[in-house]
This record gives sequence, C-alpha cells and structure tokens, in this order.
Amino acid sequence: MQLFGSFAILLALVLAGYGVLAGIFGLARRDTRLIASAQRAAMAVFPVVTVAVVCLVGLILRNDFTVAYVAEHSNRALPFYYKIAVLWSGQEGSLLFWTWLLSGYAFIALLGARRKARGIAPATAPGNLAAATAGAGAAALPVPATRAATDEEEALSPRLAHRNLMPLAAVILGAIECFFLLLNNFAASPFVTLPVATPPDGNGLNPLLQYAQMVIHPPMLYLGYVGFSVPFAFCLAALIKRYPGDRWIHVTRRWTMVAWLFLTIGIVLGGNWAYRVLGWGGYWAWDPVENAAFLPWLTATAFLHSVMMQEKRGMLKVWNVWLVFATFLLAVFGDFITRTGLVASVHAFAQSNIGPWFVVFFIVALLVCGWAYFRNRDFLKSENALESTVSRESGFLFNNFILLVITFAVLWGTVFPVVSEWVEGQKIDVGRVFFDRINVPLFLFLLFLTGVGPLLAWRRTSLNSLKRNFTAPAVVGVLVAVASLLGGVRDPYPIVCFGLAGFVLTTIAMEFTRGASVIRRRGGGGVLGGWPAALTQLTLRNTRRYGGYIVHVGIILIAIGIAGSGLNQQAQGAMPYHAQMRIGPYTLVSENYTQNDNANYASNSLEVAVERGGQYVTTMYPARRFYKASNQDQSMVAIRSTPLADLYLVYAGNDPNSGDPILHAYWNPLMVWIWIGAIVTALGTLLAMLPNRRPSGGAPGGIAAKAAAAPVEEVHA
Amino acid sequence: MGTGLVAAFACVFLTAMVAYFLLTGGEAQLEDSPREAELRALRERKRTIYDNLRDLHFEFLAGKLGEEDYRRGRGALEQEAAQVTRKMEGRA
Repeated sequence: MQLFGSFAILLALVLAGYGVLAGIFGLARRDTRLIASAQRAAMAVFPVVTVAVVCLVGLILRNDFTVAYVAEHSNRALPFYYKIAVLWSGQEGSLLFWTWLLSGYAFIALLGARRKARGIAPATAPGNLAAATAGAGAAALPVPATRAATDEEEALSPRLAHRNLMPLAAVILGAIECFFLLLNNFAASPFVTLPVATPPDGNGLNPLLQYAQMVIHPPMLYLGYVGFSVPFAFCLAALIKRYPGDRWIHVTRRWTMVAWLFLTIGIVLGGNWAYRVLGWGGYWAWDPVENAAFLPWLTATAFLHSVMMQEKRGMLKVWNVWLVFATFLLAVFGDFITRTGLVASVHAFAQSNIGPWFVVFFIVALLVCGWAYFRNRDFLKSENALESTVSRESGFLFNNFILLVITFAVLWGTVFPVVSEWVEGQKIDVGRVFFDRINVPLFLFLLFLTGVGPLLAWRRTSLNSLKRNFTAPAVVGVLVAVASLLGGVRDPYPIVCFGLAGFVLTTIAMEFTRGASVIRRRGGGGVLGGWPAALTQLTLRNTRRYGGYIVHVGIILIAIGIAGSGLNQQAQGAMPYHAQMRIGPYTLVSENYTQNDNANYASNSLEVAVERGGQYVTTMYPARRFYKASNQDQSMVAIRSTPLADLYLVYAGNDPNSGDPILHAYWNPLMVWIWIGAIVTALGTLLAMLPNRRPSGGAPGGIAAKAAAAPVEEVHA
Repeated sequence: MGTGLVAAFACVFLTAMVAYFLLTGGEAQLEDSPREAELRALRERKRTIYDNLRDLHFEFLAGKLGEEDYRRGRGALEQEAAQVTRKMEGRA
C-alpha cells in the first residue's frame, strides 16, 4: 500500500506536468486534440491523487507503523474518526490532502466546462469546420453568419466564458498542482518508511487536535485556501487571453464565493476550537496562523464587493484583478508561514525544510501575475469614471479601502517579528494591543459602510434620497446606543458597535420590506398574498442581493458577539469541597472531584454546581486529561451557553501546596451570537450562490421588465 | 515478494487506466473568432445595462430612489444602451 501510494503521487505529477505542457503547446498551435488530451490529463490527476490518499488512510487505519508519518501522528488506541483526521494533522499528510483538494477543484471545474460545452455549440470551431470542409466544397457549406447556439440566454451566460477560458485555466491549475506534487514526491512524502525498527505503537495525535471541531476545521480551511486557486486561474487566463466582455468576472466571482464560504466556515470553526479547547476564554488572539487565514479572507471580501463595480459599471478592473491575485498569493503565503515555522504559533506545524520551495513558488507566481498585468494592462481600462462621492460606487471604494488598510495592518503585524529579527537581530512581537487598536475602529467604520452602501444610488444620490433612506436607521442606531449606555455598558467601542448594529439591521429590514411591499402591491405575494410569501419571492428572484443582505445580518451578529467581549469578567481560585466562587450573576460551588482512566487518556474532573440568586441552575464538569501516547495533558473546558452570556469553566490544575483543584471561571456576554452569526453568514452565502428564480406574471421582475421595456424601446427607436 | 507483486500489478493497472482515459475522447472546442467575441461582449454589455435598468426601476417602485435620482439614472443608462447598440450595428 505504501509503494502503491508512492507510485500514485509520482503518476499524478507526471499527469499534471503533461497537462501543463500539452495544454501550452495545444493552445499555441490551436490543436484541439492536444488541448482535449491536456484537459483529460488534468482531470485524471484527481482520481490518481485519490488513490494516494486512500493508501495513506489505509496505512493509518491498519496502524502500519513502518511508515514514518503513521508512527509520528497516530496510535493504536486512537478512535476511528481521529485516525481519519491524522491525514491532515502532520506536514506530509496535510500537503497530500491539500493536493487532493486542489485536484478535486480542478476536476469539478473541468467537468463543469465539459458539461457546459455540450450545451453550447461553438461559434466557430476551426478544427470541426476544417474537418467538414475537407470532404466537400467550401462554397456548398452554409457558413453560419451568427452563433450556432439558438439559445441567447445560454450564449450570454457566464458558462460560455467558463468553457472558453477552461483550457488555459486548466494549464494554470495544473502548474499549481505540479508545485504541490513536487513537494509530495520530493520534499515531504507521507509514504517514507522508518529507517529504524518498527515501534509497537505510534506517538499519537496531538491532544489539541482531538476535538470534533478539529476534524472539520482543517478541511474547511483548506477548501477555502485551495479554492482561491480556481478564481485565480480563471482571472489570469482571462487577462492573458484578453477575454472580451465581462462574463469572465462572473466566473471568477462565483468560484471566489465558494472558496470564501469554506474559508469563513474554517476560520469560525478555528475560533470555536480555540474557544472550547485552549482554555483561555477567548477565540481569537491575532496569532500569525489565524492572521494567515484572515488575510486572504479580507482581500476576497474586498473583491466580492468591488466586483459589483465592474459588473454594473465596467469600473475597477485593474483593482479587481489584483485583488484576485493578492487573495491567491496571500493563501500561498498563509500556507508558507503555517508550514515553515517562520513565525511562532500554537497552530503551526513543526519547522521544516520546505520553506525555500514556497519562496520560489511565491516569487514565480508573483512574476507571472506581474508579467500578465503589464502585458495586458490596456485590456483593463475602466469604462466609466466616478461621478459623485455620494454614490454606491464610492461606498464600495471606501469599503475596499478600509479592507485593504486592515489587510496591510494585519500583514505588517504578522511579519513584524521576522522583519525585526532581520533588522535588529531579535524577534519583537507587536501583540494583540497593536491589532486591536488599529483594527477595531476600522471594523466599526466598515460596519457603518455595510449599512450605508446599499442605500446609496448608483452614480449619484440626491439629498432627498439620503433623507428618505437614512432617517429611520439613524434614529434606531442612536436609540440602541443610548439604550446600551443606560443598560450599563461603559466602554465606547461596544456602545458604538451596538448602535451601528441597530443602524445596519434597520437598513437591511427596510430593504426587505420595501422590496416585498412592491410584490404585494402587484399581487405577487402568492396565493396567501402575505408578507412571508412576498419576502420569499423577493429573495429568490435576486438571490445575490438578498443573500448578500443575509450575509450582512450574519456579520452584524458576529460583531455583536465580539462587542460583548468588552464586558467579560473572570475569576480564579482553589476550589476544595464546598468552596464557592462568584462570577457574573452566578455562584459556583465545588461539589465533587473524580478520576477516570481509559486506553487513550486518564482524566481528572471537577463537579461544579451553578447557582443564580440562590437557585440551582446546572452542574458543570471542567476536566483535565493526560494523553498516554503523546505524554501531554490538556484541559477540557466546560461551557454553558445562553443567548445573553457564556459561563466558561477551566480546570486549571491543582494547587501545589494543598492539592486542591484550581478553577478558572469566565463570564462572556453575547458570545453565542458569534457562532449564530457565522451560521447566518454561511446560509446567506449559500443563498447568494443560487441562481435567480425567473419572475412570472405580476412579479417584481415582471413589473420591472415591463418598466424597463419602455426605455429599451425608446433606445431602439 | 507477494505484496510487492500485488503493488506492481496495481501500479500497472492504474497507469493503463490513466493512459486509456488520456488517449480516448474527442477534441476540445475553441472559442469564438475575435469579431464574434467582440459582438458577444457588446451583447453582454447591453444585457447588463437592461438588468441595471430593471434594478433601477424596482428600487424606484420600492421608494428607495427619489424622482430626480431615478430620472438621472435612467437617462444615463438609456444613453449607455444607445451607444452600445450603435457599436453593435457598426460591427454587424
């Protein structure tokens, strides 16, 4: 199995290399057979890498400790589901997993292009036409004056751009696959056997990784990171080919949304894991590896907003292209700092020798981006100019500017220890104060723009429209801020955040109710004619816009949860039998102390009764485990979540003198809204990716279509 | 020896499968000629302008835009659509 796995990754490298070379030659010579062969090779990489992955998982499940990776990261007593997680828990396995996901993305993109190709006849297929004319007089052939496809919708959809760009995009994806397959084969193979005698058992999985979230978190994060390769490939292909029209940007945007969704879920799961596992009461510490995931998320978020400027008004083309490039490069950079030990992090893999590989790849990718841009920059000329500072366009510009400033601040804070070591000879960590001080006000301004942007008109907004749209949200925002001040909140940032949350949620509610009221006025609310039906119709007819608003609701909920951390409380103390501790509105009473033992770990657990106002609420069991295979101990946090606050208990060890268990308690207001907000964000993104449902009868689209028909006829006249 | 033989057979089988996949199948389709691509791009642009007109009208009906903003926006989009239509006619 180990030999077969090694062979599979070697074969995958050969296939990817062939796909790149055949694709380049095929495109240069316009050889349709060679291009098709290159695309089939690119597709074949996925099943072949799958074989390698199956081999590695098989070795892990069989406890084959002759293989170094299995001996290093697994052990016999490890439960089945954690053995699957061993695949991505170490350097070599996770790189193979990365390659597998990348080849999977390429496979899906290629499969989509093949399916779409069947549905759209080519305008002119020189190969086919030449073959047809070979056997008959050219004059006898009806040469199509226009597109053969009769379906105008299909011809103008982004699917055609997907199909047309796929050959070159496949070459670019293949080149990225080649890099990772080179690592898999020659720098970090997971199939290397141990040079010494086979150990009876493995070292085991890192205890920090033995949590449900950690089984899902890395795959989600990787799907996000890796996923940005696809929009990068399409964007670069469009630039190199100077692909006419704007449909290529739709393809790029849709793939970016997929990757953005996965990265968002991955980041939030990582925060949830940190909160539930690391036992410090928080979820985000501006750790370099956290930042590494956050950086491409920021630029991708900026792109998902600024792309609307290009789609609607043909503006910001250069900016958008560089945002896609930057997102991909930052994903590579994130992978680089996670894997090379460049910066110290609780999440990072051990130091390794693959750093130079990543540096070379990063430089090559940057050079290719630069070359493609400078060669084709005239292709990216803007079609329109900004007409007013009070317009939807300027809202997007501000949004992008703020996101970019945050990106630079986070990047600078992340690499500062490395830069300071180069300059001064010692690593200086900027700490979370730096990140908080810079980013909190910027994020608050971003929240403000989240509410303002959708209410501004494209091109220019009059004072009357501003008054009409902003009065109610501004009043609600001020009322919420005053209410939170009266409610006892004293920190200015949470007050501003709650006020902005009220402002933005009101603007979103107005957007939904105004749209739905149009549907209801025209009798488009369905049989029941009610608000729920009208809201559903409204949302399904413009999924991107209203899905986007739901994403904004999710972001606001997350912001509310984060603002709650400004009100946190904590207490620590020894808790002998019947000792008490006060935290927030609760009284904690130590009830019992138990010990447990199984094949994987031994644990000590504290039984804590929670009371509020003298009434029993619940019993919680913070614990501490000692994992036998890895000789490491780990605290098991006990959390009680309510919509208002979390009670968070950590068994922090035993008092060295008395031996009494030490309890560290946190009271974290509004924490649960971070996780709820993340779910809402994910659902909104999924909704935004759905195709619009076509309106019928008196539906809003129908009304709008009728209304739009008037000017269109005038135009034709 | 037995395991090695099985692994060798598996490798040969995998290679044969991949080779079969690579060597069978049709041809790829190439994209439109530059002239047709340019016409398609203009049709796409026209479609986008119509979509923008629909959005603008819907926002007006929803009471989000005042009369002044609506008229200005509509006029600009109509002008843009006329330009694109002229370009299309010139290239047809």
